[in-house]
Amino acid sequence: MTDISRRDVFRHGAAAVLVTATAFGYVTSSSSVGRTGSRERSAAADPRDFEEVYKGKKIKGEHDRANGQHRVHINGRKLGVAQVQLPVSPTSTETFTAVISTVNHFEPVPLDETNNRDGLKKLAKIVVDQLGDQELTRDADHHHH
Amino acid sequence: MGTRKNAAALTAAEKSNFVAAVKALKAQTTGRNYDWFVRVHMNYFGTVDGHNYAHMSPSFLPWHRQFLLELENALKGFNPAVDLPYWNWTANRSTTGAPFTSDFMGGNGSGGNGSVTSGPFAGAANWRINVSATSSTSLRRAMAQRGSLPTASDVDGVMSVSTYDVSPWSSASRSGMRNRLEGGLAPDLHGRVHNWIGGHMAQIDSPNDPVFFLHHCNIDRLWSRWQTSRGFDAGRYAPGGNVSNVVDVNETLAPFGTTVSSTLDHRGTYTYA
Repeated sequence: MTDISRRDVFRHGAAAVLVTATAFGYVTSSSSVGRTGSRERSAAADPRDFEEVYKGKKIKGEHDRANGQHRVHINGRKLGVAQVQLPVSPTSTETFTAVISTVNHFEPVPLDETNNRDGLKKLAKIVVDQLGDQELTRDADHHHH
Repeated sequence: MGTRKNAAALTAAEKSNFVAAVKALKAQTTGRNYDWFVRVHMNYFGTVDGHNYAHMSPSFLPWHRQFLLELENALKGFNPAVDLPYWNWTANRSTTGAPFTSDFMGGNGSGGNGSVTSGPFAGAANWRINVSATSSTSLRRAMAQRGSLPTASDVDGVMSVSTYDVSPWSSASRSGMRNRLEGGLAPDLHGRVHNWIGGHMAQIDSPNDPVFFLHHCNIDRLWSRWQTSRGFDAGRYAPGGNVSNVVDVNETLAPFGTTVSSTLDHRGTYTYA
């Protein structure tokens, strides 16, 4: 985890993110990465959802509060996203929720419904920054079994 | 038995032999060629058959140890003298020094976020990216823009942790050597190096960059160092058994077909110089 994202967590209060924690953390969340339409999504749009242009690329994010199966598209191509649980610190029993993707695989971005509610958008922008003049491929929407 | 050397200590012949073997594996059109290793790493990004074999689990270290050994054996098929080298990033911290020299891994991406411009892996004609989450067909790096390189003090801190891993045996484990080394806990000796190199190394298809194997060889060396002081026996791996959805010491590491316990003591196969 990067120093920046860890600082974000402490600054914003990671305890608040526990409402989205899953029993098996990464195991549960990542098992569903890449599935489209496999579960019913909330009829009401999540206020954290976004659709905008960043550095010339259209980024779209849809949150799945219930199952952690968040969806991100960049220029219409689907990005594989996994929700993970990370310890707040070695001295705490609490964890916080973060998201990683097939492009920023090793850089979890804190996500919650309060201070880190823009986490999925932050992830999308990091991916656009990494892409530069590239686009996502079909392998960016990686399926897991 | 092989001896894995520091990349900074390789002779010119050892570097050219390694590069030639890697390129021969890349050119192989059938079987376990180089792109097979890229695809396997992508497939084992998350859960397979209910287990996190490769990442964010206790089997992170044994899975990658076997992954490296499979690649090393494939390289030896082209040249038996080839051994995997390791990149000691606590000592070699420059974007232009070892291993990022023009006679070995090559340097940074153009403009700091583009295609690698020097060395044997520069350009799609020399090293074509075939399997990736992103569209570039040439190897990319964006060195020193994100992440950071761990220090010797960081390494010593991780090595001082006596417990291998703890429940819940995942990225959420708040103690243990493995999660500190992998990256769920600070100081994160593994993930931040992927981010420091950037480009393909930051992605799910990170083995597209041959320096992946030098970095993970160093991770494996550090685990071996920890084992040297704590023990290579099965009792130094956790969990010992009967934990569902976690690879226990006697379970098989997919897709390799070897058990965790069989990977623990590597000293009969290779050692580190």
